[in-house]
Amino acid sequence: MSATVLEAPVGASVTPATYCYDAFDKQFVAERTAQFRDQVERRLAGLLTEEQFKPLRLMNGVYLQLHAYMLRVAIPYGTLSAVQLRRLADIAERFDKGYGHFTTRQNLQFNWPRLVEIPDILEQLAEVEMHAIQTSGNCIRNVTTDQWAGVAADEIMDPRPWCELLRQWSSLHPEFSFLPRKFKIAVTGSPVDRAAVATHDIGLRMKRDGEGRPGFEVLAGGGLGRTPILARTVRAFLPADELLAYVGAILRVYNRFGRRDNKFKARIKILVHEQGIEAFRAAVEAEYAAGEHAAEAALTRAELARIQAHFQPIGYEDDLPERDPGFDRAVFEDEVFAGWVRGNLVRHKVPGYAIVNISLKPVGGIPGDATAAQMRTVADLAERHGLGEIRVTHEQNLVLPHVRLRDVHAVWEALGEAGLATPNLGLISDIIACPGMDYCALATARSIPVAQAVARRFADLDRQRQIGDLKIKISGCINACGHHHVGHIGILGLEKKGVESYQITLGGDAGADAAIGKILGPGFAYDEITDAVETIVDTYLQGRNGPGETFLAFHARVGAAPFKEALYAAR
Amino acid sequence: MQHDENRLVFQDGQFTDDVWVDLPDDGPIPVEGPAIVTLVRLAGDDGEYFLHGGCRIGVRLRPEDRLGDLVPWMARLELIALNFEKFTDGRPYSAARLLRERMGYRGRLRATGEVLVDQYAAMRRCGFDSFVVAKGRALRSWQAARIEMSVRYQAPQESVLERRHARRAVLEVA
Repeated sequence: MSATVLEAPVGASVTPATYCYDAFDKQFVAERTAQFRDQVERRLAGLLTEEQFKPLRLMNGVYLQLHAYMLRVAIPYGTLSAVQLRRLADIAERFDKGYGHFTTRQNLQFNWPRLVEIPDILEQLAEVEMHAIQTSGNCIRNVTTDQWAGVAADEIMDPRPWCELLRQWSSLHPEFSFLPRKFKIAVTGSPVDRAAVATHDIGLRMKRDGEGRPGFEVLAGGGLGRTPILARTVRAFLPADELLAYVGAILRVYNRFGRRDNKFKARIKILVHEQGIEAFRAAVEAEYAAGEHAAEAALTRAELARIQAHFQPIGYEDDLPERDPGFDRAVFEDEVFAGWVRGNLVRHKVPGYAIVNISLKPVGGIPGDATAAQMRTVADLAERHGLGEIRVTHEQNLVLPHVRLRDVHAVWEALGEAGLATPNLGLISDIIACPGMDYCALATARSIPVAQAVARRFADLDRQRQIGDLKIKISGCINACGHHHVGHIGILGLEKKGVESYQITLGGDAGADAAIGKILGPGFAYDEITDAVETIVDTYLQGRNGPGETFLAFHARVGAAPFKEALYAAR
Repeated sequence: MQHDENRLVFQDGQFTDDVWVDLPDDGPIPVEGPAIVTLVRLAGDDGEYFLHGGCRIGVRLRPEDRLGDLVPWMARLELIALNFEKFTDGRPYSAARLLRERMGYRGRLRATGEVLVDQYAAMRRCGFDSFVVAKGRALRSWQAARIEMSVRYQAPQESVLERRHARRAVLEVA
C-alpha cells in the first residue's frame, strides 16, 4: 500500500446546522405533492375551473404571469443547504431557462415552468426537503428573518428555531388558509433589525425580560403596497413559549373581522388602522384570554428544544485567533480584494470566521438573478469553505455565513471567476427591484431596466464608495414588491396616459428606525429617471457635512427642499 | 319548504339526501321539523317555541352573525349551518372552531354555500361534519378526489407536535 492518502474533498460530507425533516415532515411534503398533482390533473381534465384552481395553485406557489406560469419555491427564513441550492440549479436547467430569481421574501422564482411539469418539480424539491407551500395565496406566507441569524455578533438569540416552528404551525393551517389577504410574518433576533419587521403583517422582535427569559415584542399591522403603514406594538413582551397561541389569536381576529369587501383594504394593516391599535389590541387580548393555552405552551417548549438542536453550530474550528496573517496580507497586497472585503465581509460572532456576502447585483445585471452555474459555484464553496450553508437575503443577495478568515481570499477568487464578486453590498448599485413589466402581469412600468440603468450610471466603484450607504428600491406598480416605500431613494413606476411615469420618494428606511419615504414631487419619464437619481445624489454629495453624514442623515437634516430645488427649478 | 333536488349531503362518509328543510322567515313552522331557521327567526317571536317545542331545530348563520346570540338555544340545536358565501371566504372556519372548542357545541355542523372538495379536509378539521354538495361537476370532483393529508401540524386533531411528544415519552420510558 502506498502511503499516499488521497485528500477527501474538504467539507463534502458536511451536514449543515439547519433544520432536517423528520419522518412526519417528509410524509407531509410527499402527500402535499401528490395532492397537488391530483389537483393539476383535475384542472387539466376540466373538473376544476380556473377560478376554482387558482387559489389551489396559489397555495402551492404557482402564478400565472405575463408570459407563462411562475413557480415560487419557499426558502424558509432564507436558509439553504448546499445540497438544496444544487438541486435548485438542476431544476433551473431541466425545467426552466437555466436561471432562477431570488426574491425580496428570501424565496426563489422559476419564471418559465410548464404547468404539467410542476408536480415533477415539486417532487424534485421534496427529495431535498423543500416545497412551494404557501409562497402565495391569501394565507400565511414564508416566514422571513435576518440573513445573518445565528452568526451576527449583535444578536440576542438565533430566531430561526422560532421561524421553523412558525413554518410548521402555519403549513396548511385548517383555519387560516383563506384569510382576507396574504399574511407575512418576519422575526428579528437582533436589535439591529435586518428583517424589516415593521413592514410585515406580524413583526416579532426577540427580547429578554428582567430575569433573562426569552420572549418577543409583537407588532402587527405593517405593510407596504398602496397604503404603506408601519406595524404597531400589540404586546411589549410575550413569553416565548406563548408565541403560537398568541399569533393564532391575532390571526383569528383578522380572519373574522378583516375586511373582505375590497381587496385593496383587506390586509390586517387596514383592520388595525380602522379599529385603532387600542381596540385591535383589546380584541386580540380578549380572544387570547378566552382560550386555554397551557398544553400548547408545554408542547411549544418541548418542540422548540428539538428544533433548536438542529441549529446548534457544528464544525467550527476551535480557538482560532481573531486575525489571520494570510488574510491580512492579502488585504494589504490586493486593492481589489480589499475593496470587496470592506464592502461585503461582515464580522462573525466566532473568532477567526467571517460572514461573506455575495452580491447578485452586477452592474447591468438583473437584481436577484443567478444562473445554474452560479448556484453550483456557491453550493460548492459552501461545502468546501462554509459548513455547507447558504442564506438568501431580502435584499436579493446570497450569504456564506461561516467562512474561515484564512479561506476568504480563495472564496473571493472563485466567486470572481463566476461573476459573483461584485463589491457593492449596501452601495447605490445594490438595488432591490421587483420583476416589473418584464415578467409581472400586475406591473404598470418596467423596473429591471431602470435598476440596470441606474447601476450603469454609478458603475464607478470609487464614486459608489464616496456616496456610501444608500439604498435604492424600485417597484413597477403600486403593490410595492420592490419595497420602494422604505428605500432611501424609492422609485415607483406608474402608468400615466399610456406612458411610464416614475415617482420618487425620499427618506424611507427598512431598519430599526423604520420610516416610510415621502413623495418628492411630479414623476419622471423613463428616459429621465436616471438623471433625476443622479441629481439627487449630487445634491447630497455637495451639501453633506463630510462623508460621515449619510444620505439618510443629510435628508433628515435638510428635508426635501434642496432636492426639489435641484430637480424641479429648471423645469 | 322543499328539498333542493340539485344537492346532496355528504356526512359520515357517504352521500345522502337531505332530511333538513330550510325554513323561510315567514313560513309556517312544521310540528316536527326538522327545520333550519335563520338567527333572526330563532331569536325573534318564535324563539320561545323553539326553546321548548318538540320540533327538531337547526339554525343557519351568516358570517356576520354573532355566535354569542346562540347561547340560549345551544342545547336544543341539532344542526348549525355555516355558509361559505364564496369558498375563498374563510370566516366559517373560525366560527366552526369557536362553536366546537369554546361553546361546546356537539350537534351537526354543516357547511353550505360554495363547498368544494379541496376544502373538505380543512373544514372537517375545524369541526364540520356535514357538507352540502351541488350535483354536477362539483359532485364528480368530490368523487374523483380522494387524496388527503394524514400529517397535520396543528390542533384541534392530534398534531405532529403531539405525536413527536408521544415518541419522546416512549424514549423516556425505554
